[in-house]
Amino acid sequence: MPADCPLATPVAATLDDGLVPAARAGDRRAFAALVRAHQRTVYSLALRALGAAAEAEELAQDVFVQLYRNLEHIESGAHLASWLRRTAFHRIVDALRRRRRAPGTESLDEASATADAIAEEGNALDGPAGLGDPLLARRLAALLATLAPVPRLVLLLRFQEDLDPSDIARELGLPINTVKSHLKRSLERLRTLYQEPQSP
Amino acid sequence: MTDPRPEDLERALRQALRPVEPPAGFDARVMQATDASRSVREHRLEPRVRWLAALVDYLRRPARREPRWALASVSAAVVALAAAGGLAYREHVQALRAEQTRAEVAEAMRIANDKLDTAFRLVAEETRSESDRQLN
Repeated sequence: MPADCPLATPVAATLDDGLVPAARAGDRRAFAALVRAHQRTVYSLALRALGAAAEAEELAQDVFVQLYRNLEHIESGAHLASWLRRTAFHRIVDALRRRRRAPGTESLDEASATADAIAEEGNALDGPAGLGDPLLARRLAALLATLAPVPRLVLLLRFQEDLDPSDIARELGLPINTVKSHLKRSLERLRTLYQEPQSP
Repeated sequence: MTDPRPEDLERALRQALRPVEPPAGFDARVMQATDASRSVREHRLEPRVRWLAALVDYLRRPARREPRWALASVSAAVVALAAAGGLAYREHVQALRAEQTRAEVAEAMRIANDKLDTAFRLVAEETRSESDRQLN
């Protein structure tokens, strides 16, 4: 396993270890199993970051097609998970920057629309009860959408993927202090925004 | 809104950011896209260069199981053997052609010789007949 490859989910990574060589050898069913195993992660990152289900699906699909073309470079299950998150991260940042919006300038109204889309996706699967307090979830998703691309993704990797700051730093090629700084500032910003009264 | 404690906010974020499934049929659409990607890639390659692309792909793979220099050495040896074999075959073909040409020239000379013999014989016979007639 490469040195820059955290083993965030050992069991899943071990299962993938058997599928990766098979997919590399041309086994289509093994590749499909890898897609199914990781589609939630890639799609959720894209959805939470972009806020549009169709755009998120297209981006996630592109990430897997890119994976298919680069299977020979994937060495293990843990490397695969890391590669997918890193590739998704770069594509999401590119997509967000293409929108030609200055970082952190998404309005709360736009963010609220984003959060609605995300909440609908979540509720369609889990039902409102599955997200705990749906209002809180919706509000947090809206606040998250106000963050700049990189801090937003750092926060997603921390709280969606449950990665440690050191793992996030390794995967994204960022200094650990930058990651910690993003996390600290983003949480402070969310807390501040959260306390502000909501517009009707 | 109440002021959330740091740990409450983090817990709420974890709950709010739980991964969600993509729309139904996502994996099938990915497989279709990879099919299209593969067929386009194969279509772009002429049959004659596919083996070269396969070799390049193989050499580009991460050198985990075998050291890369060993693969490069084996590939160089294969290429050198193929070149030497090609050269030897070419020389063999040229030698065969030369032998065939020599045989054809020899055959042509033999035929020409036979025809000359025949012509001389006929002339000689004709000359002898003419002499006999004059003597008689």
